[in-house]
Order: sequence, then structure tokens, then C-alpha cells
Amino acid sequence: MKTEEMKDMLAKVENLARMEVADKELMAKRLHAVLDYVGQLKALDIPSPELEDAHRMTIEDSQQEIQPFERDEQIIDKNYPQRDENGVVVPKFVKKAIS
Amino acid sequence: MSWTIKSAQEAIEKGELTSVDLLKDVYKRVDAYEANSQAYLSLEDRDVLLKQAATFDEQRQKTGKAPHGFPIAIKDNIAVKGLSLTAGSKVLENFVAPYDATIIKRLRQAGFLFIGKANLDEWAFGSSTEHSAYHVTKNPIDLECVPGGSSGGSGAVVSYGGALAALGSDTGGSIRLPASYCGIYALKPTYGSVSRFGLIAFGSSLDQIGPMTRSLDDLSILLKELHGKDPYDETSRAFQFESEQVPDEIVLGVPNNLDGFLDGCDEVVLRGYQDFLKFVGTLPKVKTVELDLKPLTYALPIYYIIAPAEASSNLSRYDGIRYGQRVKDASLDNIYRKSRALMGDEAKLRILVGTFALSAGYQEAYYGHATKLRNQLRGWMGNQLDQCHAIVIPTANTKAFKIGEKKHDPIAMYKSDTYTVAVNLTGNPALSCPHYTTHSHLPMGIQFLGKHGQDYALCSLARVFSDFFEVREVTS
Repeated sequence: MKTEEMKDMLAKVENLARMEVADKELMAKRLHAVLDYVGQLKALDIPSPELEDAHRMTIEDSQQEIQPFERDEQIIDKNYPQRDENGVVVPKFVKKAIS
Repeated sequence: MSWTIKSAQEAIEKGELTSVDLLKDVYKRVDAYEANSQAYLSLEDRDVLLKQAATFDEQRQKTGKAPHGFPIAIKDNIAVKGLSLTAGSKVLENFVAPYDATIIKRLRQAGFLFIGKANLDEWAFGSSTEHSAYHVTKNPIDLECVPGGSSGGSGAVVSYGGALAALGSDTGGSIRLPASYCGIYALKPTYGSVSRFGLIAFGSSLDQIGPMTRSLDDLSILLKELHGKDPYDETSRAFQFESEQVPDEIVLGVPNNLDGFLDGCDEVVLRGYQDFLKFVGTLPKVKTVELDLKPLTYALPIYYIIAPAEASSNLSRYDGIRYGQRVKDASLDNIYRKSRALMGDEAKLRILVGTFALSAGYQEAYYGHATKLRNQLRGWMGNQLDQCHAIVIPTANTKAFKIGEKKHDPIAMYKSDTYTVAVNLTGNPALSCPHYTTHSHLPMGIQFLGKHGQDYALCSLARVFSDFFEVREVTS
């Protein structure tokens, strides 16, 4: 990555993190070096069969069929929100759900 | 002479030592070595502690029973009511803890005295304590070298005897690395077994507070005070710890390919580890099983995604509004930016790495993938530990290095954590024990990794090899 591209990337991340960096060139280089180092995990080859089994398990777990959420019309108040005498929202559907 | 908790306990119970004399002995060590080592960031008022110790002595004389008043040091990212709490950062300069962390409350009830707050890398980000915003702590064994980090102040204090023991926090090896460099013992407990309430959060799924001591017995004594469920920490739970009984035949897991696994280790660590394997070979009823431990080294890049990601989230609260220093400006956004700019370069770097790893477009490739690999590592670790009673590897790949040697090379510094970070990702306990080779005046650490809940069992297991371990007295 060129120095200017590194600085651009730093500026974006600085903005997201709401943080100012004094020596932008140095920090951009360090940030790039760290991301380059940790980037190796994207191609990390894990030869151990135990690890592959564990990985397969997590994939299988994540692929389990998700039961559709059954919407219970009973607990939804069509007139929500209603307010009490003080103007505070009365969460009627919550009360019904709890009872 | 430096006291251990156990030796002081025995001397007090025999009437050979008072709590006041114990405290004075510790202050003699502080007076002799602190100026050079600079391990503490702040010290509690001596008169307050001496008065407290005198109260214990009086109570003991009258009733025959009283707390011992063991003086211990606390890493300065753990809240002790009324004492400073800086986390090594200028952001929290002059901040005083308004309450006790749960573990401090427990230790206070047990009669421990908190002699001072120990130096650390800012927010516990580092492996050398050079990233403290206040000063660099020096290794008391060799003042030109770092004490390790991030709990380097805690490690140095225990090493020179400026406290009987210390508490540190371990997110990626932060108590084991200083233990290795400073020649003492340290144990990272099983994740969830010790409350984190009152610890300044770095990586919430990785952080664990642990003891640093001059003996294995002291580790067990402190662990018994620290362990336990805390209603203020939802991740804590009451563990059924494995028996401390040592099995009739001990099986240690060791790497099947020393050359591959120990790549990057310095001469002292290589020789020390090989000497340990030779020593194990001379012991009856101890055998080794060779394991492919290469995946342990994969933990480092996984860790350096997950830890900064969690850190960037945890440290977003230090925005100048809610805690610590606030830089004045008319714009709210500028207050955030300028107040957060008070952080040091390493803290900023980690926050930026974490922010990048969690940003839209990159989250799945970095954080998502690292999380999957972490799950795999957890499964793998469990499988390896099913084949042995503990895995034994070096704690660090080098002995203590010179101050300034790695400070400006983050990757070189991160690689100090190669052998320590895996158990933080998997939640397992790990114990570091000190050893001196004949090739260096600096120590190295031998690390035992155990199954979840084997905290005490690891201490018992390590006692079998205690002839190999040594804590030296700092004398100059």
C-alpha cells in the first residue's frame, strides 16, 4: 500500500474512532504493519483434524434451521402507544406478555 | 530477606513476627530498590498502614486471633477505594477510585494491606511497561531491561520484595510475561473464576485478574481469596475446581517438533526448556506425550484482532465527558477528539486497529473470522488437554529484553506474547514458574496450561518440579 493510501485509511479510521493522531505518517505505517500481520489469519490454514472438526461443528451449529417466530397477535395492542394522565407511554403489550 | 505470604504467616503465628515488623521489613525493601526500579505509580500513606498493622497486632495479643496484615501491591487498573486509579494513562491522571473492586473488598476483609498501585502499560496495552504514560519500570534483576508487561510494576515489586505478592490483570499474558522476566510465579485463573468488577476493562472476554507471588503456596493462598461468583460480574461463576491431589503418574504434553515450535526463541529460553525436559526425564512416574502444538502459535493474529476490537469498544467511554481529563473546546466533537488524543501511541494504535476490524466492510473478514478461529482453538485446546494433565511450554520466547529494544516495533513487541495469548482466547488457566539457566543472570518462565477449573491442580502439579524452579533475592 502506498503512503498516501495508508494515510487515507488512517484518516477514515481516526474519524470513526473520534481520535486525533499527531504523527500521521508514522501511525499510518504502524497501522498498516499490524493489519498486514493480523491479515494472515484470513488465509490461516489449520491442518489439525481436531480444529477442522471443531470448525465443522460451529458451521453445523450455525446452519441449524431457525424456527420462524410466531407472531402472537394477542400481545400486540393496535392502539399503542397510549399515554397515562402524565403523558407517559403505557406499554400495554408488555404487561399482557408478562401476565 | 523477602518474605512470602506463607513464611510471614508461619512467623506471625509462632509469635516470631508482628504485622508491624513485617510491614517495616517490606518498606526497607521499597526504600532500597524502588528508586531504581520505579515499580509503583503511587503508594498508600505509610502511617495509615502502620496504624492498621498495629491494630492487628493489638487484636492478636488480646484475642489470639487477628488478620496477618500481608502487604500486597495492586496493579493500577484495579479499583482500591481512595487510591489513585490511572491505568497508566494521562486520561485518568488524578482519578481516585470511588469504590473497591470485588476482589479488593474480599482481600480487605481478609486483612490484606494495599501498599501501593503498581505501574503498567497504558490501559494494559503492552509487553514491557514502556507504554506507561508516567515512567518506565525497570527490571530489578537488571535495570537495563524491561520487567515485561503489562503488569510490569507488579512483577518488579514482587521480584525485589517491595510487597509479599501483587495482583495483575492478564488479557494476553500480562501477568505471566512479567513473572517470566522478573523471576517469580504467576497464575492466570480460569476465565470467569475471578470477578472482574472494578477492573478497568481492556478485552472483556479475555481479561482475568491473577496473583503474582514468590512461591507456589502463595498462589494457592491468594487464589482462595480471589475465586468466587460475584453478582456484579455476570461472567463470573462458582467453579468446581479440580482436586489438588497429584495423580500417581503425571503426563505432560510437550511439542512434538521443538525446532518448529520454538522458532524465534532466544538461546536462554531454548536451553532452559530443553533442561526442563531433561529434568522431567529423570523423575519417576512422570512421562511426556508429544503433541502438535503449532496451532498455539496461530493464537497471536487471532488475539490481535479480538483484543483491539474489544478494547476499542471498551475505551470509547474515555471521551472527556464521563471520566478523567477533558480538553476544553467549543465543539463537542472536538472535546471527544482532543481528550482522546491524550492517549499514548500504542493505545491509539490498538484503538485504531480495533475500530478498523469492526468497521463496515471489514468486520466479517477480520473480527468474524477471528471469532470462528477462536472457537476452533477452544475445541483444539480441549482435545490436547484430554491427552495429558498439563501442556508445558516456555512462557515467553525471550528473556527480558533491553529497554527501548522493541518499543517502536509493534509486531516484535506483540510476538513476546506468542506462547501466552492462546489461553486467554480459550479461557484455560496457565501458571508461569521461574527458572535460571547457567547461561544468563536473567530468568525465564516455564508455563503449565491446564483444563478449565484446574487452577489449584496446576499449582500442585508444578510442586512436583519445584527443584527446577527458583526465585532469587534481589541484592543490588
